Amino acid sequence: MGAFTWWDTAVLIVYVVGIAWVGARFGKDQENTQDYFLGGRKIPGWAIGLSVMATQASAITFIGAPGWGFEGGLERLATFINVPLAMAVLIVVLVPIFHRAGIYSIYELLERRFGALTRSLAALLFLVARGLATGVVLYAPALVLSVVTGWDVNLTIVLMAVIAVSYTVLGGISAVIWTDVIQMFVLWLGAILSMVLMVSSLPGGWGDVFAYGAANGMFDTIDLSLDPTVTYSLWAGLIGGMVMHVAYFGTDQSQIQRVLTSPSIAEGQRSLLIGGYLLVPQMLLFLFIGVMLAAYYQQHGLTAPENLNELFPRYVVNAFPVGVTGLVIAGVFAAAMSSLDSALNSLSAVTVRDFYARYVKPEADEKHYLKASRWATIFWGLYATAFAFFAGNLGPVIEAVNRIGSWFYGALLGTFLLAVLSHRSNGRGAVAGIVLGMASVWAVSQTDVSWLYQNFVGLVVSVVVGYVVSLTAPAPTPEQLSDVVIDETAPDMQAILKGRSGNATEIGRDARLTRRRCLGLILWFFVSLAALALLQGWANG
Amino acid sequence: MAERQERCGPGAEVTSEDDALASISWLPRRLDADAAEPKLRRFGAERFEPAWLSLWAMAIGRDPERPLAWLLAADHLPRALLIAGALDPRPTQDDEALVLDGGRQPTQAQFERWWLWERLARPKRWSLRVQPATLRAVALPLWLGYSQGRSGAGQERKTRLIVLSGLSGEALGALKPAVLAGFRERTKAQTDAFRSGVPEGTPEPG
Repeated sequence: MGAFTWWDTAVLIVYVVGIAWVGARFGKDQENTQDYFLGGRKIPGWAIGLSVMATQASAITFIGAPGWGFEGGLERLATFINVPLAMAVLIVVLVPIFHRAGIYSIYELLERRFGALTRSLAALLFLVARGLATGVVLYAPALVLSVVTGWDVNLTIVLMAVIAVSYTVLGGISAVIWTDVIQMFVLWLGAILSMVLMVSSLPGGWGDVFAYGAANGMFDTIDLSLDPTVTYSLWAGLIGGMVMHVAYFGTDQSQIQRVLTSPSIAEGQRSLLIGGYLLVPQMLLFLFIGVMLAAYYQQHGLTAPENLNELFPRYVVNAFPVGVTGLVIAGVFAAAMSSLDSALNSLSAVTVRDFYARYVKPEADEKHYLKASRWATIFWGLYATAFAFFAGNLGPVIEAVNRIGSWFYGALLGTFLLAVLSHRSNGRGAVAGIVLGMASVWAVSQTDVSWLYQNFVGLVVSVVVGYVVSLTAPAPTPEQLSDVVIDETAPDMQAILKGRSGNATEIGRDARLTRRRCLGLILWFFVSLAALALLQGWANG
Repeated sequence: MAERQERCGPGAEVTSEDDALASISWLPRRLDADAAEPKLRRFGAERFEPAWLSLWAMAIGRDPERPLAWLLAADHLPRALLIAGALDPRPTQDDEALVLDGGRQPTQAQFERWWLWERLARPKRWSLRVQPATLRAVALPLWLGYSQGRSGAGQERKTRLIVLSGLSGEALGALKPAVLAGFRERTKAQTDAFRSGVPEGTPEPG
């Protein structure tokens, strides 16, 4: 114990090479080709769920959340408590429309609804936002490498960027869902092992952790303050955080891509459902590790590192048994690669599809576009690398990623909601909404108002401005509304459908599947909230 | 006809839409009424019926003899339906269900572009190509569910359509506009036939 030994290095190399071998071996065979076409339908739901979790910032969570919890306790969970509700909104409102529209990139929907300028603006917002966030995702494993080797973090950033871009350009291995599953198990193993080791090193065990957390207000998750400058109040989490997560999972191509490539609406909804149930407990687990680390540092009289992102990697390196350290660090690298591969691929796909194939070379052949997508991957790798050098100054990486998204997500979601919910809005309004929505977010970011509310402000301004400005231009044509208005409601079509329905075979009534799924998520939200309230009540006597 | 021949491209086995439609392949209805009924019920349908939608299929694979998957589409659809494995087509329709025209034949370039976007969205399988020689007209089995929906204040209840694949049982929201267009086309043909005094015949796909 106490350092990253040669044994750990050997385990790390064996793990990374082993994962690469599994990807290369099973990623190319006939069975995996069928899985590719079937969207992994033959694979059990729990494995798909873990794969979803693996691509959703697991390395960021592993590195950032303990530092976040160390600093502020479980209060930060307010940012994520809304996730089940956000998933329910997505499942009911956006996913069916995206699926029905038959689109490969969600920004296509905006072009059909509002015109090419709106599509390009929205796609550009995504590229800028996701590119910046990818810089933070790149910084996370680079920091771990720096902690492990003692090398300068700027050097490890460049090293990780070269590895991530090469890995993505060469095709990645994330097609093999089982490698993602292994990664998630390794990360969770690391989390649970760290809890066991920490508790066993404290004289009072769990009692010390809970006593320390309660005495320092670290279990005060629910802050009902209406003051908008309170960053992690329940209202900031419910109002701003929910907009952020609906936008993140619904209008960020790197996330919604998995839903769009699902073979059916139900399959797409399943991946959102899994995230809806698992993200809050996962975040709770890693924030709680932060609380445990705070108790551990206090009991052992240790001084925390200046950069709290180093906190948990340092603990893993210093406290874990020889070999297990290497395994967990390898899991972090593999998870980071999975996230980077997914982000770089979506950045490259949107660059080629929404810009290059549209404005630069519309009629090129497949080989040309493949080459273009590889160059785009390299470009976004460089862009992310440039930003990664600054990521260390942004505080806990998990907060940094969400803060970056909050600059863009409100206006982006507002534009999509305008497209879907208002049949009077048009291209002029949408563009005005995006521009003023972004401007209002910038204005709010100059104040002390919680960054979570930036999402809500961007949403409201883009929708209201978008609608009002739309009134100054003609209403959209029926063709422009075809993706969002179901033409079965037209009077002539109603006559046809009623005629066919009258002659069709009758079946019984039952609850709608989608409604039942969403009720589960809403129930889960209240159960999570009640559990946190109980913990807070206990901690405050 | 010249315009139609250009759509198939060089080397294509099928040389016109008319030839293709003469040899339409009927995909197997793997989901029978007993299996379709509970699925449609879960989506809120109160009545249901079988139907067929004519589409155009092109194989994906390394060679035309061993297709790994198929793209099913019509020229006006924004995205192709991706079906894994063999199509296992039948020469004749195995029921008397309604046949709807799904749209005109896409070009080879359209199929290539759809496949390109599919792989850009989920990068992998760059070695697999669309196989133009496999182009064929197919009839996709569907189950159509009808729901009366909920009525708003002062509003009449609207009949909603639910489209379910007869191959896999999945809801196919993306095909709903094509089905509705097929209904509209069919009604128009019936009205025209009635006006010209010609007896109504079975609608032809394509």
